[in-house]
Amino acid sequence: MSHVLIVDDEPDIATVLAEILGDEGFDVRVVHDGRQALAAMAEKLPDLLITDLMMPRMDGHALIREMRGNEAFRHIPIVVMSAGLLDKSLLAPDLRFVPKPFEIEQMLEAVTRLLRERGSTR
Amino acid sequence: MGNTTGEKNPRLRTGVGGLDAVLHGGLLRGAIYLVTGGPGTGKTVLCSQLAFHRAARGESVLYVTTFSESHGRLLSNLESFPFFDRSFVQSRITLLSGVSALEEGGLERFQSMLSQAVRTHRPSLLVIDSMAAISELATSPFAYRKFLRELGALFTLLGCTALLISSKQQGTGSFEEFIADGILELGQHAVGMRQARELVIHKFRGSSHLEGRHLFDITPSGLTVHPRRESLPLTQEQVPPTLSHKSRFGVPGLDDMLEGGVPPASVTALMGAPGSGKTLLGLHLLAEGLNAGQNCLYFGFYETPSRLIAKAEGVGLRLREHVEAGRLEVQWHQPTEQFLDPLAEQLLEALHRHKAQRLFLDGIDGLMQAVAHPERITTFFTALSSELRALRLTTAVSMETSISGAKLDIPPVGLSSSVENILFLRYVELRSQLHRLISILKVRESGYDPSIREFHITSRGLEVARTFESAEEVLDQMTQGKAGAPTRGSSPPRMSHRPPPEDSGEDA
Repeated sequence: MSHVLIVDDEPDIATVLAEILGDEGFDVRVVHDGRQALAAMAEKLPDLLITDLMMPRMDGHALIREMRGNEAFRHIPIVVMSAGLLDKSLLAPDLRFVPKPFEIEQMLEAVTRLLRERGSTR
Repeated sequence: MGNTTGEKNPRLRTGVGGLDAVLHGGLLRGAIYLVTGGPGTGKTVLCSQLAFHRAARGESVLYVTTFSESHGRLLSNLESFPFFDRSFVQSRITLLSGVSALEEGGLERFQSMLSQAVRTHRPSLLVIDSMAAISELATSPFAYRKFLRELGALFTLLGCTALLISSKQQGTGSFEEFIADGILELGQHAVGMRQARELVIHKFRGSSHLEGRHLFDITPSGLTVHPRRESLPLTQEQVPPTLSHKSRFGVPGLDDMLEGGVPPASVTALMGAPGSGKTLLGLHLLAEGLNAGQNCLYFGFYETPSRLIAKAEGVGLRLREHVEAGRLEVQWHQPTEQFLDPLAEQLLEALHRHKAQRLFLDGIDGLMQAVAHPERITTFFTALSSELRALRLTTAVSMETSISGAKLDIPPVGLSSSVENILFLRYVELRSQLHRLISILKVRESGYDPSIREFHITSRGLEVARTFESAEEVLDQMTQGKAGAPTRGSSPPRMSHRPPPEDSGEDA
């Protein structure tokens, strides 16, 4: 069972997304900003991270840069979900961008493709 | 999956006549709409019609009732409508009751039930009928807001459009109003002895829509919205008509005054007092078109088809054969029970279906009686005239003026500016003899003879004097006090059957 970490300061979206991914067979945890995400990853490495960009304390751009600079986290595939624009310097083969608002099929497609490419399954 | 048709359109077409036009294409997928209105305004019919329409397209629909009515009662109230299809119930339309969940576990249990059902059935449309008791069961306003926000997130993620039925009056500042992407309010009010139903879209995030009030009705066919004619985008004339093909009335003296007829694709007002000959002149326009091989439509309010045809035959206009041949359609509408926009839709539908090239709208006061908001009539008629022009129709519209021999009284105010051509008919009494006069007040982009002419209604139709002398004589005597206008309560004008003198073509 793949472990997915969701990082979003909007609890409604995060809660519902976690429920749906749970229905799909994923093991899901939810945190609400970049700092909480780094702490959660240090505790248990996820197979994939889903993150918003605009968040308090540490935003998504800062979180991704931290992960890229950390040997333990740099290989975790990332799905960015945001109504804003992603800094192009962060684009990478193991990163997918899903613009908000999105329908669940778009998110599931991005998650399953990244996990397949990484060799993980649900 | 909610959408088994592979449709990717971000719009959810409603299947409710006229509503998609008001919504500029339909509801938005994944959005939440509040359907509000008092008891009996049609909220459940609207949502059910939409539900069956989506089910008919192969989609999954979830219909959740609360404390409104039982499923059995809901279905029995719907089964007489043609959109109802019992085979969809529990196959494509899943009916759920939220009563037990609400009673046993309040809002939390209800939310859990709803969330699970939406994730399981993946509906394209969810209806909650109704929200009335749900807010009351919330432990706090915060809990209710959280409930609505999480539902909103769920619907967005799953692309499920939600209709939340509420009997609350719009404008109460309820949290549903703030969170909803759109608010559709259904209402009704009395217009004289009639009841007018109206739809207002108070809010429609993410899209434009037709603002203002729109009439709707609930008939045995279901709910139909009639977008306010003047709120619809105007159809543009594709090719401006040329003046080389004028439309004749088939009345030689008049066609000469008009230098060959009225311009094509124009609207002509036939103004005059009751009995002055407006209807016969309009029928002349149709008869001339029919004789030239054109299809024509008569759309009137006071003459039944049989009486109208008999009246026409009395003055030598043979319309019956054209009706039987299917080239003339005669529509009679009682002005008392219908409203403006449904009438306009019937008119335009008949014009399209019949491929009509000439129209006689007899008379405008019939439309005025059908108006629920009198201030609309001028803008409505302007929009309708533009539509008729875009259809390249030659149109005559009879407009009744007050009974007045000398004074020109043009009602209704503002309507005359919507027409290109105005013909004015009147009659005066002179030595116990009734004289009819006709004059041209304006013609678009064309010359015309502005003199006043006398005319007669004969067994060969309407005949206009070829010169102005007889009319001048009548008017001279009138100004000298020898004549007067008929007054209300005097004997109605009688038809003159005097044939014109053969030599001069004049009647006087």
